[in-house]
Amino acid sequence: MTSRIAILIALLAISTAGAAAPASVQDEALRGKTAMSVYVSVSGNSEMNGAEFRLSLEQQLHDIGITVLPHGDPPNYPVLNLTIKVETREVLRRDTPERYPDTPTGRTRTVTVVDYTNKLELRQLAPGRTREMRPIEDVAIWTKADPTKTIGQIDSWNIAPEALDLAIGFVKAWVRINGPHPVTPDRPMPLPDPNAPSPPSNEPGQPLRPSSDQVDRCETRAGGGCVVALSRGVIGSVEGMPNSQRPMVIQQIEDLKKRNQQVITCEYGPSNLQTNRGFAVFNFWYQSAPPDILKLLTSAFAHPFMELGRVAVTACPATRALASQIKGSRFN
Amino acid sequence: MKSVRSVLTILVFLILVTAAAAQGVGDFLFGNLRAEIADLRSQLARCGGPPACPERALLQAKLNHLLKMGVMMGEFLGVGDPDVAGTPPRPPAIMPTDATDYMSTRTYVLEKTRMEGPDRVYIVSENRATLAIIDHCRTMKDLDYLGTMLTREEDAARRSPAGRAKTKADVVACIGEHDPKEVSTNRKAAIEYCLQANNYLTSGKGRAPFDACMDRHDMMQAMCKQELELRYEYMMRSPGIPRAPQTCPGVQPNAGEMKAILSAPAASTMAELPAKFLAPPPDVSIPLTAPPVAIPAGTVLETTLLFRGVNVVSVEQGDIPAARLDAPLAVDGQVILTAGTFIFLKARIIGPGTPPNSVQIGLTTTSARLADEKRMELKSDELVFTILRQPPSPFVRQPPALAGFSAFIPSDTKLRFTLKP
Repeated sequence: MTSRIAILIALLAISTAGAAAPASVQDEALRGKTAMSVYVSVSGNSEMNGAEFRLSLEQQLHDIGITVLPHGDPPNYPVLNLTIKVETREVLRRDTPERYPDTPTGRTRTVTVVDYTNKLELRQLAPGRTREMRPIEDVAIWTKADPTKTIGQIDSWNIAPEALDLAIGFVKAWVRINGPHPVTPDRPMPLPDPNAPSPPSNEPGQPLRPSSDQVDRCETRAGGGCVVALSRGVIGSVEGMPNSQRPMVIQQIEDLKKRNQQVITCEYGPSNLQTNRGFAVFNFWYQSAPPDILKLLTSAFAHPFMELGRVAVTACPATRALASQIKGSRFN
Repeated sequence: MKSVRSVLTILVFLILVTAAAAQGVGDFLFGNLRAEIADLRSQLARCGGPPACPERALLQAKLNHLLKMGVMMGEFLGVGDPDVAGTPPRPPAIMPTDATDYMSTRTYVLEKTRMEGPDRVYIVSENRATLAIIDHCRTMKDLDYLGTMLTREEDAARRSPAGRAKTKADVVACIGEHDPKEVSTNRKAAIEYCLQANNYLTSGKGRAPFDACMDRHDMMQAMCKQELELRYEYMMRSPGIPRAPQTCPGVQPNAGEMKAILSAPAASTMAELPAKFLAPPPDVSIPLTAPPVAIPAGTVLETTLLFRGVNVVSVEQGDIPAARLDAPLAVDGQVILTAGTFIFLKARIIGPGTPPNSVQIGLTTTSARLADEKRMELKSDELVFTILRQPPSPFVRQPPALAGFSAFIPSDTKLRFTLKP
């Protein structure tokens, strides 16, 4: 009996040592990595908003003292990359004969299941090892991944929290290796040039609408648009918020109103000159986004400010295509 | 959203099959989610952020995601946000002091009825009766919902300041004519009287006698009928066409209510409703307009039958069939009616057809709907169809004489009318 316990303890010690060693070696790669950009990729599930997870990750990195690099093309390395891959498929499941005594072999029915894989990597550039990769390639220097799991659709709400658990693992490892650091500031996004060339688009470079009921009724015309105080009319819906978070969000809106936060409304069109129809309205933070915009956006998901994002403009973008492009990159 | 729908299909299946009889539906569906939310709230309460608890932002993200998923699932199932723990208390409803402010009264009463629990049809609370009265009076007096059924003049008059004031005064007066206590008491008496005399579960005669009895004795059913009749009147607006009777959905007591109703003291008689509940809608017919130029007799109208088609029951009930004009009607190059114009028809049972169990139905045009809700007279010859009185049984071989006969004139049937002078 004693020898069996000794063997068990020995095996446990070996396995613990074996598991811990690679993790700590891997964590060593985080030493000194005090700046990185963040990418989140969600595929196969429309309920998870990758932008929300990315902004939360960025806020988290700021909190532990990491400088968050902006999105660039090519990306600014190192890159912290969270991937959530979801696939839904139907499988045949045979119920036990006990459940349906009239069918001795059991009944077969179709059941929808979800396969998902979560992976978090910190990637950085390294000298290329092959001729094609020279002079550089990007390699994962820190990886944490869950094996692919299969669950019933009823449980799919828990996929994202598991992915965020990987990120929590990264945060703890980084702090363990690098120690406490002062919080890094969230730098405001640079103001885009409203007169930049119109990007290639299937939305023709429609100009700003010179006159309409809405435009003519505007009290403060500026920058080709209508500048208004922040209101619930120019942001996303507050009504769809969770009950527990709605009062907080309404208070955030009221506080920003008191701070005279402004929004510019830009109207473009018509897209059809013959019918004089097809107008598009874009809202942007005017002059500057709220200074704590990242904290606001990550205080609740489906936040109404997600409609405006982090980008501000000093004037309406000259064309609809440019406005659309700026809107599309409002979280970058 | 698609996958949420599929998730919810499974959820609904699980509810129905598993029944979760001993467990509340909310607990059954959202139990794990709620537990996870509670756990995260507790972790966040203990986590002050770096350096002791560096992962605070990600814990918040996890909580945010779970709250969002709860809202999405709850909205789809129509149960609202399942995170009841986080629901702030609702401010108490305040009864408005202005008696003419019926919309605020409605909001107040609605809030009260929410606290009363699910709808009951046997014992209707005074709050629910008040709500029914306000909604009835708004339907009868504030015609905003009729939209394009109103003429331009009617709409303009209604929108003017004087028109708005009149509408409000009419609604207030209507509400004042009804007593919620009386409506509530009447419902209890009517349902006891009608169900005890016409228990559709045991009489073998179906629901019809019970429904007819309720239509004659129940105030809320009568109010509903009046609303339908008013709407129908505005839809028709053609003079001289008999209006089809309107029927509201029958009152449906649940099993517990049935038991209570049937065990209540028997009522042998019940007075008819006061006249105001049986008053017909106002006549809002618009006089027929003559065509701008005389349409020669013999002109052909190519039309397509609309809606659900025509069958014996619909004709007997007085339903007004309608057709759509397929090609413009022009006289000497002048377009009188554009393609797509709505044509009112008249249907009648001519008599039995030659094959057994068949009847002959005649269809004629009566009028056309013009712009601004005006009507133009349009008299045509009669198209005769032979249809079966009842659909043929799939279990009985049809006699050869009935081959090719259907029990209805289907919608989309092409109807070629020839106009009469």
